[in-house]
Amino acid sequence: MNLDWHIIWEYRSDLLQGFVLTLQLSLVAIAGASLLGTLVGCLRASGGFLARRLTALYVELLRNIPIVVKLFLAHFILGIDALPAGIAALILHQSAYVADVTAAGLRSIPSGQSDAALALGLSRWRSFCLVLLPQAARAMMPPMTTQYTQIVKNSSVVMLVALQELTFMTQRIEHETFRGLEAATTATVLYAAMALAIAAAMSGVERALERRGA
Amino acid sequence: MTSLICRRVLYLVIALGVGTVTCLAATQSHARSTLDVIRERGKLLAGVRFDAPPNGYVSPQGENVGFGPDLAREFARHLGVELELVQVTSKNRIPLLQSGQIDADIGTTTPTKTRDEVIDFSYVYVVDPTLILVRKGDSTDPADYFDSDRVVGALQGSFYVALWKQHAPSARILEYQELPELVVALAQGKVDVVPTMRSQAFGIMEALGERAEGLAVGETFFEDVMAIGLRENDSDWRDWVNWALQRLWADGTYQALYKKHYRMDPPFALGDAGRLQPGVDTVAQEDDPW
Repeated sequence: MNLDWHIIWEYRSDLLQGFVLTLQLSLVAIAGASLLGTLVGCLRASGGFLARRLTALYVELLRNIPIVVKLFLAHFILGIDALPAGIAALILHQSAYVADVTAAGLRSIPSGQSDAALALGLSRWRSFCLVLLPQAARAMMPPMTTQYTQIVKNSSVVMLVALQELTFMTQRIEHETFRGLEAATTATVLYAAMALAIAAAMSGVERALERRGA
Repeated sequence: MTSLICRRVLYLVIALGVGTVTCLAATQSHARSTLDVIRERGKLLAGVRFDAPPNGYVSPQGENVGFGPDLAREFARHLGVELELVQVTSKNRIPLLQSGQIDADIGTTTPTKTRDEVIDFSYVYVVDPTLILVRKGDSTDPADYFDSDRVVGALQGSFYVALWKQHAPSARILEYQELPELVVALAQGKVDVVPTMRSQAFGIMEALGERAEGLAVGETFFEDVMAIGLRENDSDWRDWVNWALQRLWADGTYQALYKKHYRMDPPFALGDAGRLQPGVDTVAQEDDPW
C-alpha cells in the first residue's frame, strides 16, 4: 500500500483548525457537563422527594435521547446557531451520565460518615461539601474519565451542522485527496492524544485527592 | 502513570498495524478483474444513490428506483448474475469502490481529474445542468451570489464545493453531511444558496410538496457530466461496462430509461466523440458475457 504522509503536512492548517475547535468544544462541554451533571447528581442522591423525581426524569430523558436528535432540535427546531447548539447538545447529553456517576459516588459513602459529621457539629451543607463530596469524588474519578473521553469523541457530531471540527477536516482530506487511511490515522492519533491527556489529568486529580486523604 | 501511557501507546500502535495489514490484504484481493469476481460471486454489487432522484432514490413503497438502479438491473441481467444495490453517498462512494464493497458506482459522480487519479470512469452517461436553489424572492441569477457575502450550502464531498470556489474563491461555504439538513438549512436561512443538479433540484421541490413554496429553482451556471465509477486499472471490467452502455444505447433501452427517469431524451450522444464503437454488438469469446 502506497501511503503518502506528505498530504497530512499539506493539510496541517486545516487539521490544526479542526483540532483546536474539537479541543475548545470538548473543554467547554467538559466544564459545563461537570457543573450541571454534578448539581443534578447531588440533588438526585441527597435532595428531597420532588428533587429526586425531577432529576431522575432529567437523567432518563437526556440519557435516552440520541445526541444527534438533541443537536438537530437545538439547531433546526429552536434555531440556535451551530456552535452554541453543538455545545448545548454535548453538555446536556453528557451531564445526564455525569449526574448518574455523581449520584452513584455519593451513594457509595456509608451513612455513618454523614452521621459522624453532623455529630461533630457541622451543618448539613458543610458536612455534604467537606465530608461526603470529597470522598465521593475519589470513587467518581475512573468513571468520570470515561465520560470526559466520551465528550471528546462525541464532539464529532457537530459536523452534522456544518462545523469544521477534527473529523470534518479528516473527511475533507479524504474527499479532496482520497488519502483516507492517512487522514483517519492522523485523526486517531489526535483523538488518542486528547484521551490520554484527559486520563493523565484525571489520574493527577485522583492522586491529589488521595494525598489530601479524602 | 508513565507505564499506563506506554501501554496505551502500545495498544494504539498495534491497532494501527492491524488496520494497515487489513488494508493491504484488501488491496491484494483487487488484483483480479472485477468481471471475473462478479461471475464467481454470482452477484453484482452496484453502488446506487438512495437520495438523489431521479438518478437513484427509494420510492414510498421502499423500492430502489431511478436511472442508476435500472441500469444496474440491465447490467446484472446481461451478466447473468444476481443484483445487490448498495447505498452510496457523496462521501462513501469512492472508498466503497476502492475497498471492493461495490463493483461500480452507478450514481451521480462527476469524473473530475482528482477522482480520476484514484478510480476509473466509464463514458459519460448522464448530462445534467447545474443550477441554484434559493429562497423565494431572492435573486435566481447565480452571478449575483458569486461576489457577495451570501452563505453557500453544499454537501461535503460533493463536486459543487470545488465548482463554486472556481466561481467565487472567497465564498463562505457551509458543508453539510446529508441532503435533508442542507435543504432545511436553506429554508431556515442558515444558507442562502445551494448549487445542485437540475434533476435533483426538481426532485427536492417535488418531495417537499407544499413546503417547497418558500424555495425557488434558479438559473443554470454549469453543465455537469456524470460517469460510472470503476476500480482503477481494471480494463476488462471497464471495457465491459462501456460495451454494455453502448449496446443498451444501440437497442434503445438506454434512451427509454433516460426518458422515463429524467423526463427528457439524453441531451448528449454516448461514446467517444458521440459515436458508438464500430462492431460493438459483436460479442467476444472471452470476458464479454451478454
